[in-house]
Amino acid sequence: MDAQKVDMYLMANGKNFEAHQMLLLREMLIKADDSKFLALQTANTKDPLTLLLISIIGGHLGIDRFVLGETGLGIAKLLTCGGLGIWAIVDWFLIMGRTREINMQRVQMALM
Amino acid sequence: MQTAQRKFYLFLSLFLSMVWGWGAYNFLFGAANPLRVCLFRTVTGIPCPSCGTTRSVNALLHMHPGEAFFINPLGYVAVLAALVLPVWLMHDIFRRSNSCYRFYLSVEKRFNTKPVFAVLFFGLITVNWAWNIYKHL
Repeated sequence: MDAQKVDMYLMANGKNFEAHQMLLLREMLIKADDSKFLALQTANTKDPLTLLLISIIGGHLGIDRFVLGETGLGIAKLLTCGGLGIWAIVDWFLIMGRTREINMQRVQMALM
Repeated sequence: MQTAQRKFYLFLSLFLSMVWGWGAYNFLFGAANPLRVCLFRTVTGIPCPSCGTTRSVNALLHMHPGEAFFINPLGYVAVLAALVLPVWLMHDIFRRSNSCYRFYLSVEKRFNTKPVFAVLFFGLITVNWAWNIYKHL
């Protein structure tokens, strides 16, 4: 993929990935074929800040986990009053990292 | 994949410890020192879909199945999960199997690919939630 195109993508979506993954991500994108660019743009990555807000507002009902696509954890959270309230609070601190991790997995899947 | 599986079993162990710890606390001291852990209810004043599950489990432990159903039918699910999952976890640990993890993945996949399961599940949860609000749990 064209380096300029990759840098544009990283500038627009950099906040969705962990800082330590950026170099690896850039290399992966440069090595990838140009035809993968459309797949990359439709990879459905999530904004960690949006997920944090969802977690604070609806995390108790597991909505944050459902949005991330982790349906099983969402159901567990929903049926246990947000893990007795503890899990809901713990997720306020973990959800941004988890979102970035899942975004990276989705980009890797799109590039495969 | 191995890491994801290990994380799942670690999480399941912690989750079950929390469930059994909470159950033991409520069975032993719950009547004298009731704790309210529902953030949603504390903030909004409205019960959440799973509010009343502990009371329902207590009613089941005291052999009042009708009362347990009236408080919150999710109490039955909680008792079933609290009894079956530890045995399944032990089975997987000692047999070095991953049947529980595979079952979890298959349920998750079914939910994500067949909307009918999700609609049915969330429909039931919504009805139960409406009933909880109506009962003023």
